[in-house]
Amino acid sequence: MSHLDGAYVLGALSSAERLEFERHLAGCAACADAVRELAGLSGLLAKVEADVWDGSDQQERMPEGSLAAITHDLRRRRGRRWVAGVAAAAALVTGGAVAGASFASREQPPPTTGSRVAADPLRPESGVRMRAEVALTSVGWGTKVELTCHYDDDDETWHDTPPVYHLVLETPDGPQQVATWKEVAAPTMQLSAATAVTADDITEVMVTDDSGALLLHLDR
Amino acid sequence: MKPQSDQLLRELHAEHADALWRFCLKLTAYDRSRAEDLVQETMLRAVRHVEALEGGPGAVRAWLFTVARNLTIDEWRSRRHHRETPTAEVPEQGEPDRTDQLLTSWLVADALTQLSAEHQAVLRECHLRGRSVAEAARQLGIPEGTVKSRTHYAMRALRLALEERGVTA
Repeated sequence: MSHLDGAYVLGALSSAERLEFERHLAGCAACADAVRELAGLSGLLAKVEADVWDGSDQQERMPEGSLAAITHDLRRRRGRRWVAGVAAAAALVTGGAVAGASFASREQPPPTTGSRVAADPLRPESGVRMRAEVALTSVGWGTKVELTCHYDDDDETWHDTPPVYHLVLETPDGPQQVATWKEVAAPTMQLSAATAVTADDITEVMVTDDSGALLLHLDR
Repeated sequence: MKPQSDQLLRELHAEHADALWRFCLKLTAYDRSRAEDLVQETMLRAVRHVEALEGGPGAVRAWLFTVARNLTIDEWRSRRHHRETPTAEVPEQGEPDRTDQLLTSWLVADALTQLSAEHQAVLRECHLRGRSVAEAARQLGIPEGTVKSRTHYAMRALRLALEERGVTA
């Protein structure tokens, strides 16, 4: 009898079978429990509109270009959040960071006793002509960050004001901006920055523009 | 924010965007531009809450539908709050109720899609079309005993699929 519970709950049994099943339920705790488990389903099924159930609405597809739009928005917001988080991050002693830039400096960085963990190119977003490499060096107080930027000589876009860039690190405590700088009329620029976060904890290195849009990044 | 968020977004979009889009169209009464914003905002929240995406596909979809529904309610509340002359328009009193009903009905519909074609067919006949076991058997060209056992298993499968989506009878 137990296989009748579904048809019973759906009201699909003939009246003779229904009476018989109800008499059985009175003496069978297992079947009575089974019916109780399914009892609410009929009410839930009743909520489904016929056109949805029939799948006649299935031809509606998400408009073209939606993924690109969402991805774009994701990056913009990511950037904005980082920029907005800077003031707060700078106020934290442990999360705070100091940065110093040396434009086109030929000076070698002072020797450190730490070990260099990475010196890798950042991947440009499409349409971005700037290139950069980053070297992260573990030191006693945290991580030394050295960024080398290469600007495109052939880039004929004229800027009234030079674009401003931000160097942002993704850390376990959230994004941390460790440097900002202006583009200069030099093909190559080097800057160094520092953070108290250990190199192993830096999961992503990013360069964003002033609006927060992601330009270059490196997943680690 | 995890560095893999772009990849995560691609996967979410491939698996859920069409279903979420249809749900958002319903939520917004086919206002396509609002529906698009709603899908976008919902997906962006999803990549910020990776922990919500750890369940099965059914649970993830339920989470997305719920977020979209809550965003609609937030939007409705802020519109109501910012209305300068409260008497000028009759507020849509039933909005939270309506979206709640809609959410449940879509989660049930989504759970139904997880059932086998045979299970869906017996439920369609016996529930949606109100047919008896004998009529359903004739309609589907299968013995009455098969209709009975299929409804038994179909209802159990449905119950599990609903549980995964957080819907309890």
